Amino acid sequence: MKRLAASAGLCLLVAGCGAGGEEIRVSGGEPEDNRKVQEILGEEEQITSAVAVFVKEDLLVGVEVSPFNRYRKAKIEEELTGKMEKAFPDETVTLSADLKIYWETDKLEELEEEDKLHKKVETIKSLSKEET
Amino acid sequence: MDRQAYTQLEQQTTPKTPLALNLLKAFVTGGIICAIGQGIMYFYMYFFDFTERTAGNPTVATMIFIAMLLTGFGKYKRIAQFGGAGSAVPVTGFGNAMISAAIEHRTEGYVLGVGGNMFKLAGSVIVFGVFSAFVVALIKTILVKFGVVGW
Repeated sequence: MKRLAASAGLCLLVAGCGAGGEEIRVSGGEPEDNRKVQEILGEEEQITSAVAVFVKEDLLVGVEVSPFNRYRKAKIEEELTGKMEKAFPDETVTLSADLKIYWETDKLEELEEEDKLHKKVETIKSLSKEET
Repeated sequence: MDRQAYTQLEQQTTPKTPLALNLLKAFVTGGIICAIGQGIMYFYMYFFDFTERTAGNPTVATMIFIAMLLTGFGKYKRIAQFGGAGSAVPVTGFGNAMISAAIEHRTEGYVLGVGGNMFKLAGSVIVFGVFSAFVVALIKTILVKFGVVGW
């Protein structure tokens, strides 16, 4: 029993350490814009994965920061937002390294209906500003 | 028998503390408690509108509540016997300290017994928690004022 538990634990550890490759998904925009976002985020080494969605005048980006860079999360967010705003001056950029924002942005891709989409975007925006 | 001889005798007869084993047990117990806490945090983030920044509060409340229930049912005692500091240092230890004191003084009545003794140990946690929060906030405020760090 003990050996079984130990080997199971080891397997989990190995699987956990090996998981997660760099992955950047962009959707909803012009092909050129999508490529641009991918290029900007691809250059960043602190990011393990990212989701970006264009919705009309909004650009929502959820990024996942690598574990040891989590201490500098706020700074990384600030830097990336600056870069994004420079690259897309016409869009309202909402960028967050929060896991919740990442999940919600990921769900956006599947939504089709206009008003639901709009509601969701507003929710994400307000969540990213939440302080308390 | 003089003092030295007594100390020697005492050291010979006292069983040795398995320090490394205790450390390992505390590490594993504390780790499991924290993993459960992380799971609850993800639960709040996934099913409710909490972000990583805000999910901490309901998570702490839930963890304390679970520890209180376990203490009341007499299960937390076993965890504490096995894990030692690993079960006392996480926030669950706070719930345990409160409820175990309340149970202990139950016979003295609700007001002077339960009410008066509930925060016997947990009270110091609150006092030093508030005080250290004040000190940390003070240091941060000064650093921000001088422009060393941002909020």
